Amino acid sequence: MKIFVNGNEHELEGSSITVEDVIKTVNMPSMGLVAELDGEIISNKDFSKSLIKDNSKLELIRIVGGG
Amino acid sequence: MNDLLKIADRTFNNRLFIGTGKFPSVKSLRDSIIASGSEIITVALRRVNLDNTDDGIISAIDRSLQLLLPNTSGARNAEEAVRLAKLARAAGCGNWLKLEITPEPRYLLPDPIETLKAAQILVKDGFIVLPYINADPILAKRLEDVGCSAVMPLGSPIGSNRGIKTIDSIRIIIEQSNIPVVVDAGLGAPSDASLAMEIGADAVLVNTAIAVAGDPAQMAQAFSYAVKAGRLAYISGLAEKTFRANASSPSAEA
Repeated sequence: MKIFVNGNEHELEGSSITVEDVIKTVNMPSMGLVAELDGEIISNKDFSKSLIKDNSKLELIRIVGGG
Repeated sequence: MNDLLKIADRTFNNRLFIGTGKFPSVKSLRDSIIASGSEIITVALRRVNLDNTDDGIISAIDRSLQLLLPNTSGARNAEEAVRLAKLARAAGCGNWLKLEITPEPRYLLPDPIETLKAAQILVKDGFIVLPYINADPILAKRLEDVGCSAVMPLGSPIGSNRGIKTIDSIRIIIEQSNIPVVVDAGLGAPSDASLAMEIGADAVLVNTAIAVAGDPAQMAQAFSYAVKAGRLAYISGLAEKTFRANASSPSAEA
């Protein structure tokens, strides 16, 4: 299926793909990470339960330094 | 001396908040936090750059000693700020929030109308809201009225290191406020932080002046001393200023 991660198109094989699977695919440490899947906020603990659909838009947002 | 800072339902021993942007390394940030003794640490949220996934900022913070205060920097209106606040909470940052809405990049001055609007929404949603504001005493009262837990008036523009240009308005905010006043932005030298504390600010937030110093950890310690000195001076009662001399030694005739 085709999904968009932070605006970039990705092709993924298989079914029942979760947000956690995508984060592993893009080789991202999950510490301090939060996601938005088609506009809905997904917290770290729900990454493994949230299923991606074809054409899903996934936004990955991280805690960074700031004042 | 028992002089605790109380914000919402939490108490703190230290009155220096540290921002985590612009540090040369995670180690330097960690050393600076330890050297400062700070108990409130600000962070930001950004869309992940898929080509550069290495930002271990969170590992520099010991959550058992320091409270995370995520900001909503990057938000240009209330809607964007509310989204960032909810993302921060979902990212595990807790429910404390530095509300920051800066629609224009040149001076990064906060939008008072959008800030008040967002504060109302976020307080109702259970956030402990500390809004970054221009030094406007009326706005500070309005934000207190809608349930904010502190106000964070600016000394001068973010990262400008120009010190407290808004001092007269900050004095009025301090005089009128029933919630803590945290002077934020523009504090470029420890003496700026001391001045804020001497006039009765409850705390200060410093980022750039520490992060870009030749030795950030040492500068963090310098700011920590300055905040403590200014606070001690304030609670000790500063001597009155006079135009004419008042001899400190006994007069010659005596």
